[in-house]
Amino acid sequence: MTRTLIGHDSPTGRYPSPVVPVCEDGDRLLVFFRSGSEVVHEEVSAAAEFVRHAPDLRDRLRFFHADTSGLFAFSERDVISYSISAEKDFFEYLLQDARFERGDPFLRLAFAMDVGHSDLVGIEIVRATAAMQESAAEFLPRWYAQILERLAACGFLPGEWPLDGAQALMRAWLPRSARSIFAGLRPLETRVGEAIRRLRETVRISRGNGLGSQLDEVLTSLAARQTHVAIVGSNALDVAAALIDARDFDALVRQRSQDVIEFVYSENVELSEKDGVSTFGVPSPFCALGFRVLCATGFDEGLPPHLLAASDVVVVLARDAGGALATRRALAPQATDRFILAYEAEDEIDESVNAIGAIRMRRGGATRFGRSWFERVASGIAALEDAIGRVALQERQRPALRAATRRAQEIGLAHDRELEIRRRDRLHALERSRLAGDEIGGHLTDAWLRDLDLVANRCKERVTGIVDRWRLDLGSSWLFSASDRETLQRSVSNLHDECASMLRDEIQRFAKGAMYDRDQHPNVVEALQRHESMRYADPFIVEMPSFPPSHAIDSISHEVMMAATFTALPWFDGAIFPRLLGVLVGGVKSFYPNRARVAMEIKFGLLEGISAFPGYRRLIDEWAGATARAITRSFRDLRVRWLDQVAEMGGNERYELEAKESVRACLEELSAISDVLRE
Amino acid sequence: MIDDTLQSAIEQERAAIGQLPPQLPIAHLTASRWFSEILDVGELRPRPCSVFGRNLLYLSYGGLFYRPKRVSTQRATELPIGLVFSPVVLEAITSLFPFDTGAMANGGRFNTWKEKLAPFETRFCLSTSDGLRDAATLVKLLYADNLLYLRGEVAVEAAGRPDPFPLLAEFLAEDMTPSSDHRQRSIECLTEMPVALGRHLLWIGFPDAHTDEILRGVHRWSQPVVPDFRAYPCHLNFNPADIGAQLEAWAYDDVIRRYAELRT
Repeated sequence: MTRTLIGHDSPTGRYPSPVVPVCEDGDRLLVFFRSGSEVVHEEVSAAAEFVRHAPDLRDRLRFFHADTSGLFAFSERDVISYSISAEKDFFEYLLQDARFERGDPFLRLAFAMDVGHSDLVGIEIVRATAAMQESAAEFLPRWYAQILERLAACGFLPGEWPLDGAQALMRAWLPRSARSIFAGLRPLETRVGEAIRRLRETVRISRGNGLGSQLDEVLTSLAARQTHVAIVGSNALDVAAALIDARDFDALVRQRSQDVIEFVYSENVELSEKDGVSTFGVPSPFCALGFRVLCATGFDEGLPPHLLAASDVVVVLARDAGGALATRRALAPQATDRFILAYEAEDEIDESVNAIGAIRMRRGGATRFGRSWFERVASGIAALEDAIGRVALQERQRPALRAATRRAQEIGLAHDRELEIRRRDRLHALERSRLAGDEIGGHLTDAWLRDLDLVANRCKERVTGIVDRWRLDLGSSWLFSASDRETLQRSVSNLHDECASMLRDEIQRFAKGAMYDRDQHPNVVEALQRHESMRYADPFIVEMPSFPPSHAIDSISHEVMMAATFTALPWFDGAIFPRLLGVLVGGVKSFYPNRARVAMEIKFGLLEGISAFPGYRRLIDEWAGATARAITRSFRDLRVRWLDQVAEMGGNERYELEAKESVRACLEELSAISDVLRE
Repeated sequence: MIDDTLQSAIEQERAAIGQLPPQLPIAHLTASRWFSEILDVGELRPRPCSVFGRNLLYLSYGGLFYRPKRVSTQRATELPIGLVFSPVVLEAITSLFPFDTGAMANGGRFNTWKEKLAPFETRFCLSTSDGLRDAATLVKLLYADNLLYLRGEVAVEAAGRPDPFPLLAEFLAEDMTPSSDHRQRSIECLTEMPVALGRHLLWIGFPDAHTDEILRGVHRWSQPVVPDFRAYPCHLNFNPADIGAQLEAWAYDDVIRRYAELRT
């Protein structure tokens, strides 16, 4: 049955985004979902709303197959398809695509995780963390812990991330993050004696009159102070009996509205002695942090279950150690994996803060913690706080990335040295040109082109040398920056298969993925020239076969050399060579994502590399003018980005290098260096 | 005329019902495309209901049991967002049903039972002014306790209660898998009032795209409370049924378990 792609739907309603294909299957309208590793379809109403593709987009996506392809949309009209079997490579490509550069950081992170490239994951984690800090800092610790779990589930960074301690660290980090929020919040201060008296009075009244008005008043007063509810008291069993009877308590909640009481909040119970009077402060930052704190007293009979269930921390007030112990024992069967803070007081509540202990209840046992435990956790989280949002995170917690960073630095130094040598070469060439009396007039473009022309001429004599140099200039960075050899191998194999796919329909005698020799070139060219659209097809709209595993990295040189001999062929210049460059640029950019200088040097290198190939003059001519449409978009984008970087468009609609301020500065720098060298 | 409504039967049983199980959170599933609208107003609002012919808000008692092939909107595809609220929100509930009325109204796999239970819209409606009490009452009378309710194991005693309990128990106990899911045995909570996101939102599960914007929007209404949450990857799998199952499991692990495991 023929299923025709007629549109798509973005489930999030936004772009750029992966989108769901909508296909016609006879009279039916189908959407296709991924379900595990399979693709399943679902029939939808004929009246369902989705984005219908225009004819030109449908034509571009004509190689889409519902069962084996996916769709990604940069906008409603800019949609590309990819082969599910090669989706990791597609995602990697996507992360380098300028159209997705400012995409949703969380989507980018998900793609990076699927790609499986630890460097990419590191970069995207930093971006997503920064977004969380900016917009939703309160949720950051919990989000971060979930990301760590997902990374671990994907097989990343085993044992190197503090997964075991993440939960504890997160909880300890929360109060720090919320401190600023509550800086202006006035804690409730009530004299202990008065609070107890009022509560006892309340109990007395409530016993006589049901839930009396004074209790209502107390609670309303407390709620008005944004403390939600604080129930304070000593070991007053009658208070407990009155307040904690679940049904009455619920009834009170309902009477007072949902905002008044649900839980009792308290970060801690701070006691102070002023003028001989003990005061009792109940600040409530925990409530802002998602902690549900129940402040209880005298619950020898246990707590109302639904309140306990909704509480993370239970603060128990007791007259003495015996009372606290009894309460803890009573709560232990109920409180699983929850904190219980037991405050012991000898007479009412006194200032013996040091007596505070905390017991964390677990199934089948209890562990005692003192204040120092919390302090240790708090100091531990300081490290996490410092790390989140910084690249330093990588150095602290990821030895593998640290090693990669060292390797990168080494490569960078080697790269810098190479660039310096090349710069000197260029200056010498420039000087030679000047001495030769060429009419360069300080025009760097001409000087460069002449210089590069010399290089090209040399390279024409020895293709192998050109390729090696090209690889040295561009490929080496990528080669070493790849996390493993397989990435490069796959990419080269990918290109090779794309070539084969493009040829597949026209040249039946070439098996998919097979190479062909020089004698067969005319047939290839003739076949491709008959089909203009195939010549410059975007590789990612061509169905990509799986990668043959046999390609070894050692064969790269052979592959590239063969490709280099094809450069006079239009299809190679137009479709394959730019793609190769794109892969290299993407690779280098992934390695140096934020180094503009390196990006600039890459572009200079590209110019050299491109110019080193036969036929470069035609390409350069195309850059300048009307035949730009003859090259693929990726190549055009590359050109435009490069030209924007180094030049400005003049009145004659030609790019002029010397018009760009940054280039002028570069020229001056080169000139100064040249002067030094001359001296 | 014999009154064999669920309402009447429960009133008969109420006196001898004993201690109720602790109340469970209630949950709601919506479409991510609608969520920005919900965040704008800070509350879930009733929507037109074709079964009862008026605006209603649907919630499920004790978990996210909805397992949609598609979230019901005009769009070709939707991603679900799950919300779990404190049991306190039960106060806003005006009607309870012991099964999913939407699935029953649509017939399909429940077609035979739709006839047997007719008119289910009135016969099995438990009108309530005390949702906290009556949701737990339904659990007690049909399943005995929360864990059995969440497992879908109907209590033997349910069949011995007044009509229509025996018929209802037979329906709830029938094994209709794989064509049916937990909705067959989930308690449905209906209200004609909006439910504020506010401070009673305990948990939210949503697609991970634009996580920061969603959480910022939630916190606007929930502050100073910071609800728990889970963000599911949405760059590959758009199957609402798969995602619904994941959200149900997460909601149970993160929030509902600790209510469910409480002793009475």
